[in-house]
Amino acid sequence: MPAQTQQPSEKVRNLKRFLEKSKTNFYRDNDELLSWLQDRNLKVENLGEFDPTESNRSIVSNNSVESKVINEFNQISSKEKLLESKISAEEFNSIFEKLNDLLSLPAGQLENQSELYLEQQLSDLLGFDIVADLDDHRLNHSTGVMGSEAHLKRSPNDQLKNHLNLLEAGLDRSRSAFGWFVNHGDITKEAEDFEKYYFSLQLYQLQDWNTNFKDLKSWYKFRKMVVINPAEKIAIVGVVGNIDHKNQFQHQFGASPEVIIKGRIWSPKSQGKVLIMFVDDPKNEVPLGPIYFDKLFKSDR
Amino acid sequence: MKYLSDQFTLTNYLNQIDKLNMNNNLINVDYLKQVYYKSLLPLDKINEFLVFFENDHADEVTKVLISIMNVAITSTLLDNFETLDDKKQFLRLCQDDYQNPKILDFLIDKFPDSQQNILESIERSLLSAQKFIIEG
Repeated sequence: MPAQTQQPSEKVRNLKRFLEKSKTNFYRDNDELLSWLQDRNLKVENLGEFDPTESNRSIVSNNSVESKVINEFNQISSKEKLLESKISAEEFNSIFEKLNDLLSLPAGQLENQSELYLEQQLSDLLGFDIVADLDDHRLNHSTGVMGSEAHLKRSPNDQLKNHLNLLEAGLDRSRSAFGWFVNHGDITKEAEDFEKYYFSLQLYQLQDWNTNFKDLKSWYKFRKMVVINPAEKIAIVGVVGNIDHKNQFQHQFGASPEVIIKGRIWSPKSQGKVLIMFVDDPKNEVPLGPIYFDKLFKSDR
Repeated sequence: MKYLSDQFTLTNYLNQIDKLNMNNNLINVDYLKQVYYKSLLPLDKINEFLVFFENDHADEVTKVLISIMNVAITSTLLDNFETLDDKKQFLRLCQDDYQNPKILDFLIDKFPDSQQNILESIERSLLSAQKFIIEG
């Protein structure tokens, strides 16, 4: 075959020439779209491209999960604008220093003084109340290591391809310990958000689980909570979506792929260490999703 | 303790390698998973195409090949849309989240033959590119 006698670089060069030819044909055949594509800086050949080493990043590289997280960092969402910050820069830094110190200790509950301090300061910072103890319910661990979980089936017919992002995380074969997110009909926006930002807790380890599991299960089902990653200064509001069966000495909590990625839970600085608390939100006003403390703090200055 | 990204890459590789069931797998699936039509990609044929090049060039060739497929597939699919607004709507979806497989669902909803169109486009691209490399 003649091509096999060519130098490798020649073959690659020819392949690139073929791409150029294809592009020329495409833009010629779709000339009515040309100015529109240019206005949007949309290059069809670059769609989906993700090369973090490239200095001139294409518009499409913004589609990568990492870039989306960075973009979210750079946006002040309307949700965040509503949140009030009432603390000084010194206090802001000392909260996270303290949290980082506490998370370097073994997993468990916080001692009373630290707990009260953090509840108050973080609530002020976030603009909504967070507590370690809600309606006499308290987890065995407020601090610990959060492991990554697969996506959960939201309905009996749910498939991995129906989940929007991070399909590589796979789909859990069994349904959540709390049942389906929707029993029948289409998957609602609420169900989609619940699965997207779910936490998995080791409720079986609660002291009164064996005697009171029915009430506990019903109370914890889709209970709103917040996970705080102090190393990256990111909080994620989510719901309790599953009960974790795994080794409690290795991971004290689990979470959806979205929580892990958006919360940068396993960044080199974080190493999975988080604080988790209940969100006291009786009117259901706190939206689910990530909150970036740095941005939040600056937005209020 | 594993990083999630490690697990993703590992799972992805294992799945892809299972599918390939070949000894000389040259595909870097990190590039292939950036497209919404990843489930339709003929991995064995892409691997055959990559074998045609030196191993050192596999990554570069894969990237160029994806660009070629993107152009060919988009071109074919745009022909299906009747109005300019519909074409723009499709391109907006692509620009917003090109790796989202829901784009494929959207296309199949609109044009049931989309899957076939994409498969044929990929096949044609591979053959044409190979021919071009040989004949220049």
